[in-house]
Amino acid sequence: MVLITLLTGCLKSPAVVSSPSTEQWPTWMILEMTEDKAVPANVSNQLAKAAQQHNITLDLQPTPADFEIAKHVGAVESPVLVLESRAEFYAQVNGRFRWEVDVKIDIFDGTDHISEELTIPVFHQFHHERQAEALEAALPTLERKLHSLLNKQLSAQ
Amino acid sequence: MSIVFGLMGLLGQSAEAAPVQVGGYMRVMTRPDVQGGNGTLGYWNLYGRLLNERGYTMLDTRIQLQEADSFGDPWSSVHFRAEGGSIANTDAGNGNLSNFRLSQVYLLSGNNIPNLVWQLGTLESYFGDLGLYDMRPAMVFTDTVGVSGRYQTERSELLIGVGDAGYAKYGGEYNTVWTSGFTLRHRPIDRLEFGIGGQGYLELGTPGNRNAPYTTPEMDYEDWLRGEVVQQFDAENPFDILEFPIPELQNSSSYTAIGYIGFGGFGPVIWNNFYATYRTLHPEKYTTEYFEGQEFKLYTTDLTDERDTLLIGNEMQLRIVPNKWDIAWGLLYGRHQDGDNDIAPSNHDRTYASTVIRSQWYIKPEFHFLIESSIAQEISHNGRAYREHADSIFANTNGTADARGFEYGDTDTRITWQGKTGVVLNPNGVGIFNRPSLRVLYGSQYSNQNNAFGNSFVESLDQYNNFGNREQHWHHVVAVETESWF
Repeated sequence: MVLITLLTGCLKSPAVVSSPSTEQWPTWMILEMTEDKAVPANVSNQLAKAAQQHNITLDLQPTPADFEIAKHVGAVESPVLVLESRAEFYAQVNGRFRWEVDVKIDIFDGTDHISEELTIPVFHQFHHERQAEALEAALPTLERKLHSLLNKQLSAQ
Repeated sequence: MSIVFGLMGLLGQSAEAAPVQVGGYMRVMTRPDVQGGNGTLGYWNLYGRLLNERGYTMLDTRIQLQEADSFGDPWSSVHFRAEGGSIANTDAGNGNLSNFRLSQVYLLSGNNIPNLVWQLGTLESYFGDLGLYDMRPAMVFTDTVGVSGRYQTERSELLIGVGDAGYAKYGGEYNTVWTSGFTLRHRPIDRLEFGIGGQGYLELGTPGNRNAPYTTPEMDYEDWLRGEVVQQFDAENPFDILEFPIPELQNSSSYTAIGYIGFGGFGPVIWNNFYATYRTLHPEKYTTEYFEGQEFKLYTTDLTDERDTLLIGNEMQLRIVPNKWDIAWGLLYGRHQDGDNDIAPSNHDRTYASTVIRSQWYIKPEFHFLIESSIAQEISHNGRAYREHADSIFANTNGTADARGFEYGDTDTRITWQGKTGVVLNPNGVGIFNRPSLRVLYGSQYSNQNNAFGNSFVESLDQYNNFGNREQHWHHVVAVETESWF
């Protein structure tokens, strides 16, 4: 128990830069499939909660059937946040089903983009777990990255 | 301010993977053993993999040859996998590369026909695994190089493969072993999934090929076990050693059948996996005896063609209190039979069963407290196989000392209990099988067998044994270890 207490004390919470006033950002969170769809609700809700710590409300927008085309012709209010994701099976690795989640997070404030592309490996125990579960498994990393990008964006303002 | 969303496209396409990726697995640990063991709590994974496994590393590299621009497009990639069970400073192999192998190389090509993925090269595939035991009972094509096609829809998957298992089985004494097999998996509803599969092997006897399956006729099993076949022939046929029987060509075959049922997603049951495998073992080629300075090869197809294995495993994962307390419970049963051998204890003639239960409490999402316990029984079908005491009998027949006896020790049954506890650091949060994990563990074992763990104790009761003997049934180990998929 002493060890646990000591180790717990070493945990460091991520620094959070907050907006001076509450901001509402139109947001798209897309999972690429045969027809693009929104990321699972628990993922988007969790990311929205993370943004809320920065005093930013993510206003989730409906997902068009083909987001790749829609994003070139649509009109939005800035700033906006777009999270595009794709999950694909990689291989069976030592008893697990290894998937890779490719994610691009983009914040556009009307003039500049702050974006990050990352590949997050996740490991399913069960064959029936697919794309949606892969995104759920990638959530801790996505939250950290979102905090980092929001900090960067808000610090630059 | 209103903008044209098209500006967002300036940064290029949506999320894409890099052309070369590396995944893999590692576990590394230190377990200083003050009781004279080599750092594992017990002999093997039957007692749960925790504290019974050594270090292991694996790298799986994927090179994308053709990337799908969008979901459903054709794609192709190649995989190279190297793996091995030795790491510098942690085991006797000291990380020597001779402990590693290029275990898999294959090309994958998908969606040239919708939902179909071709695989050329090594073909290993399995339904899933038993995480508590680190075993994968329902596997096919582990020894196969060839081609397979995997047709997959949202709820079903059919895999059919064909190839050759000759090099995996015989190495330098290669003979073609034709093999083909399949697996079929279906999920009729979200909470239920089942699968069946099998693989057959056929090795044809080609006249003139010294690596083909042969049988040396008129061999007695007991003589063969004792390494006295040629000596016995000479005794029965004095001065006729040149007439020692020549081997007879044969065909040999074997097969594997596997089954799987998975269910879960209700009540506290996260998921339950049940696997079963029945396998007939492919016969072995030959052994060697020396008689009066001359080498004799004894071809053993007939003496090794009645071996089979039944392995049944189940693992249930339970969420008792969400984000606070999970339990994983495993059961394993194995029965190995050798129809040719009724006289000597062997790994091909035994039954074992065990149960393992692991309970993990999440003090914080990243910090967990773990308790695991297991009980196992192993029974030798052909008599005594285990020594219970430092001064137990060695070779014997029915418990009477016999230098030519096949039995060993006092009992045909080994019973093992293990308990493990410790703290776990999981940076990725809750979950018994969430990784990476850093664990500080203490483990204890009790076995009716004396010194039932890897060790370097001297067992001899000779009066000139300078090291003495040691009697101990309890074994304690402290470990610091880490494990991760990546």
